Amino acid sequence: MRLSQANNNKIEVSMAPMIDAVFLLLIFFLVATMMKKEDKDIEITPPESISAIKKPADDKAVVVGISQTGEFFYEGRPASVNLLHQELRDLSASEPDRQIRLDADAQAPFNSVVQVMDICQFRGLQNVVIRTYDEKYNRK
Amino acid sequence: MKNITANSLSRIRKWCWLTATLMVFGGLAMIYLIPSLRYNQLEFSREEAETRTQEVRERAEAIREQQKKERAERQLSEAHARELTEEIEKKERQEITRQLQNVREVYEKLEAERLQKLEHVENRSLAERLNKQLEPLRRDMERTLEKIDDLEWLEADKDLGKQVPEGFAESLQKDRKKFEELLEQLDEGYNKDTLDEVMDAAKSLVEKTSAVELPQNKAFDARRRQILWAARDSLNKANELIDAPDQITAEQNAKTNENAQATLPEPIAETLEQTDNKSIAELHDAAQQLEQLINESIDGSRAAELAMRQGTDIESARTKLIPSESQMSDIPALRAPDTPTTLGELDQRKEAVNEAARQVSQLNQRANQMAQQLNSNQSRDSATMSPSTSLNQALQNRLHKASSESQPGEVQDVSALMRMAMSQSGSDSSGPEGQEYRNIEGSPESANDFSPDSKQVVNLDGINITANALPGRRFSASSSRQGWLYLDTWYVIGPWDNDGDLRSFDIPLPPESEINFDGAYTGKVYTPQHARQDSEQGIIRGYTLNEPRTLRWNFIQSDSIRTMVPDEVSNATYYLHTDIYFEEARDMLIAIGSDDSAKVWINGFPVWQDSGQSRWALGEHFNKVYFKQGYNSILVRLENGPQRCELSFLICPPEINKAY
Repeated sequence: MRLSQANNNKIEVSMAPMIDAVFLLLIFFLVATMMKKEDKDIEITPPESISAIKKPADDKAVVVGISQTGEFFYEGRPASVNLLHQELRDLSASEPDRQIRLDADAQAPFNSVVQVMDICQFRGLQNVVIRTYDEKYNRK
Repeated sequence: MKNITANSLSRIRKWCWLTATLMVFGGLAMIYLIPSLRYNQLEFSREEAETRTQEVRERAEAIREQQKKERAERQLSEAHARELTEEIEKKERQEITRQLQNVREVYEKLEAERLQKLEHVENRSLAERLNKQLEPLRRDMERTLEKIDDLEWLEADKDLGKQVPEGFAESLQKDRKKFEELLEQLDEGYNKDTLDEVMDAAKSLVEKTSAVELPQNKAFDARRRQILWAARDSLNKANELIDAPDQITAEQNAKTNENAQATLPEPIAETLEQTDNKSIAELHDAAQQLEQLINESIDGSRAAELAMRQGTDIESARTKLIPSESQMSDIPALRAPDTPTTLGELDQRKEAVNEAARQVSQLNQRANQMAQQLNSNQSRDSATMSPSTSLNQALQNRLHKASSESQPGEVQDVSALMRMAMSQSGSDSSGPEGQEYRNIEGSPESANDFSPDSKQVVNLDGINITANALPGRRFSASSSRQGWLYLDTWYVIGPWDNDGDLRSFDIPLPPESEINFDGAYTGKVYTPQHARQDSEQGIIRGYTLNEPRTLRWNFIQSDSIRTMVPDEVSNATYYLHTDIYFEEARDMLIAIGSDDSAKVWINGFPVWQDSGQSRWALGEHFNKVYFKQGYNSILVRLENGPQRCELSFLICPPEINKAY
């Protein structure tokens, strides 16, 4: 018995476009996730240091900034003294061990730096680091 | 099927190769782009490196400026510009609206509080007026009620009764009963009509009885004495007339407290209710008006408090106070009517909108702070407003007494009063429940008499303490640092003018009602004389002559026990504020030294004050005070006469101080 040719022709589903689409989406989300990072930095020139201990970057660190004119920033946003007190008080209540990175301009009034450090110390926030620029470290 | 699998595998393989290649190239690009990942062996001398860095910075700055200029001049199509402007404003409008709704709620709370206080003051003055009116009537009533009893007795007497018209005493007794019923009604609740009826009934009784002449003979006098006791009840009730206004005002006040409602003026309320079609400029205007209303409300509350303390009327209290100042400023760029045509103009508009949002946010923060302060002070305020139960008043009396009577080194123990006052206000959840307070409630006299069993005296070894005392603001029982600690970290604001009056603590300045580190206030005028003094000392302050200086809180940390105020001038008032932390609630010994006079509040309760000019001394004054668990706020008002202005604030556990 002979079977007709037409019955042997099976319909094939092309997987190629689906695979293309899946990989494209994968790469897109990968890149988008890598790019999406909250910018907490402010435009400052950090003080130079040759003896600072290198600490691994902590993405979860709370960034307190002090500009050249002594204005405060909290997580990259301008902050009043009241707000700074309030935020650090709340932080001390919720996560006292969280790292606080102090980004102070080299020309910032030293009184403002002391003020922030005093608030942290008084509120029991012990994990405070200061961002500096190490010429040696940055060159090698 | 085979074909499908083969095709798919081949496709996946291709993608894997592509991804791997991309990653390799991406990695190389990152290494190239991020200088810190490159190993660079270039060696520069430090000077050369600095010069090159400076050159690069300057070049980068010039390029940035140029780009900024070019960007600012770039033209925008009208439709695009409108769209961008709308987008910027839409985003901030929602945030500003949310903040304004919050400010509105706070305003309503503050206004309700002000109305309550105002009502207190008005009721008190009403009570004083009524007492003044009732005083002569009360004296007449005492005589009248006695006379009615006499008349009744006279009428009953066979011989003497003939002198009294028949049924006269009976009618008087009826009138008297009616009068007493009216008094009872008045006791149940204040009603102006009832009060008027009581007054009329009393007057009528006085008039009727004053027309009758009582006989003068020995028998009558003897029997009259016997019935005097019977008239006592009536007299007592008549005496209640004196107390009635106080009760009336207390009840009236309780009612108005419940009913006090603050309403927002119509235009602002309308703006806040329909924010969708309002521009940012209109919302900013509404915020400025709200700020003004809040300031008026705060000033009104402060004036009412001062009026209560000094027993004056609101208006005269208001003249003694420095009005709150606006912290918001006008933003002209917000009012630009046209749509921006260049990117530069669009940036300006964006900055203006951001500035408006920032100002509204600060207003919100300030308003919330005021509301928090209001909540924490509410019960304390209500205690202050009703002097009969005021522990705060007792504290005030104690410190007045202490400032005038205490001997050098003598410790004033106000810890028990503070503990009671804090448990009353609910600010201390750690301390013992108000058992002691309940014993003392309603009896300010007993609160005043609540003094330590024996007088305790401290002798400070000044040299030793100055050499060994350490700064500290966090206290725990397990601390390795024992002995006297001094407060070295303060927020300071001043100078305000005190006209050389070093006793003027009764006129409160803004820090007494709120601690707002971002606030700006108008202070003492900078005169040519100050400028001359500064110039002699080589100080350049940058103030405009003959104009009041703008005051802000300054953070200072003293390197010694004595804290000097910055910007020191003669005849001026300064405030110092700090917080201290206690792991557990406890009593502490404090030693305060000030040049010249000072007043100290701990957690809002006055604990010490002195007056007049005095040199600084380490052991000028000792107090035993109570600190609650957690954060405690300290506020010092320092009055400076001529020359130096300084303060020292030392703390020590009583059991550790050996001399204590």
